[in-house]
Amino acid sequence: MNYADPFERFRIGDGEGSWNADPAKRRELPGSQFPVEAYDNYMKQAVPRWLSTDKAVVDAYVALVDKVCPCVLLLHSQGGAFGFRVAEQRPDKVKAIVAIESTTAGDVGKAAALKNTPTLMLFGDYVDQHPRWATYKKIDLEYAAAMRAGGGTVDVINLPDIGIKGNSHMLMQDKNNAEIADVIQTWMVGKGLVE
Amino acid sequence: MRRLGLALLSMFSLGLAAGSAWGQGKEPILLRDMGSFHVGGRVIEITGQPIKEIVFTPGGVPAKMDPNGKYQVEQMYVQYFLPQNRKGRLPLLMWHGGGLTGVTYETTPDGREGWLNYFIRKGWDTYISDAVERGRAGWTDTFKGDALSLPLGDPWERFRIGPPGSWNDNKVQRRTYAGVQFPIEAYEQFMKQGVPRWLTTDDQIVAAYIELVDRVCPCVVMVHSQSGTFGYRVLEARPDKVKALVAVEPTVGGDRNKVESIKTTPILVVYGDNAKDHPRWSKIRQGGIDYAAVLKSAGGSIDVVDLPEAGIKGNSHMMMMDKNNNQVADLIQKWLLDKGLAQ
Repeated sequence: MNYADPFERFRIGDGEGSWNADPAKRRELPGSQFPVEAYDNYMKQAVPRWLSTDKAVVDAYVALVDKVCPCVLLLHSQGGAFGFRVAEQRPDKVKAIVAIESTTAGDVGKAAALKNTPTLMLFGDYVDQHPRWATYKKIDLEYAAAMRAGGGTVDVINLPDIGIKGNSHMLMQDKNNAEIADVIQTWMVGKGLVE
Repeated sequence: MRRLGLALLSMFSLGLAAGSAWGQGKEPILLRDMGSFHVGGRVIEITGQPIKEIVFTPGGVPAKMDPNGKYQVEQMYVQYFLPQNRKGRLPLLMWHGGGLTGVTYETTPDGREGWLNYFIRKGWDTYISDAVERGRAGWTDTFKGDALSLPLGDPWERFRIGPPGSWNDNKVQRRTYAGVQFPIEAYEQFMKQGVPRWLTTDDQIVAAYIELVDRVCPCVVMVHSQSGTFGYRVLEARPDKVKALVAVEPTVGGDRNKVESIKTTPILVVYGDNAKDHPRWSKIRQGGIDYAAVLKSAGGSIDVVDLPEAGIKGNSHMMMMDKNNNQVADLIQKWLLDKGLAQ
């Protein structure tokens, strides 16, 4: 990924064209919680990716679930697409799912398999205003509807709706990350997953 | 101080990994902190490439992908574990060998504790890294040459689990050195630890290690195999910051023209079993012995230990994951204590 890409695509900046090599000329979304002063360090976290490995990735995750679960899955972005598919294959082992801005969920036709897997879908700020993220959210919510139709439980939290503003797609690294983790922890406690 | 219960992690794997700390009935590891960071690297610019549209996830939303622009390359990943009860006088940096990652020092392929746990338990602030191009350091296609991966049988003979010609795809027909300590039942699991390597990236790797040393040292550096050369080069560049070097079967020694500059840093070199007789390792070991002699004659401090002569037998090149890995670690810890580097 080049320098501009996550800045614009992960809702740190205000969409296409918001990146500038000169930090003074970058246009952040108002109230952004991403630690922009460390954006260079964030870019060091990237690794190459292929667009042809989903099956191998899911197979390895299924092997992980078989090794260490029953468990709770915490998913982010592309990991959401993997996690829901893994859960569909191992609904007895995945006891709960926390999906953070999942970029597509599972197979709607198999969503009923997760009727005993309570799920939390969590979205940051400016999702509805960003065409790409609004579409992903729509896909996720369609899957949530299919889960509910099959008897499942899905809670959807739009962080701005509960007063938590300015979160990017990388909300686990945002400055208020602990506040969001509290929301997740409270949800897991509410589901009886924590003593 | 924060108290992070790594014991909890062990609880999650209770009953699954018989070799876990919990399974072995050891005390929980108490940390005052843990974390990670990337260090080093540089930014390059790509120009003149066509803009693409990419669908990252099947059924997903297309994204415009402009391959032009600035890219971060050649950074390194570092993870640290700081024990509650610190006894090491300096941080301990653990650097892995070629085609591998920091996993080398973590859990062994058969699920026992690795040297990372051992040295944390001994009270060392440990910094374990994935070098440039490996693991969570990431890589880009800007390196020269091809990425090499190892065939399944290659390390069996090259890392002295069995002698030359001993590998066989059929498990029951594989031969080993007599009394080998490598957990051969987990050999396939070991091969899952491999990552691609390039033959053109030494300078970039060393540059990132120097940045790490500038950030967290003075320190003790532990190197293995390929990283032996990195350890010596970084020591030569920062002799005031690398206060001791533990070299586990380094494949190359230091620069003989620079021994004067590193003679105040004590060095321990450790070779496992069968190194003297193996066609490749006998040459590697002899190179290390010759280098040690040059360093010593310049007034340097270097101890070379052949484990069999210390009564420790059967060790492969991957001695940090051999069944007697604690015994080898004890020898290293004792040397560090003797040098006054730990309490």
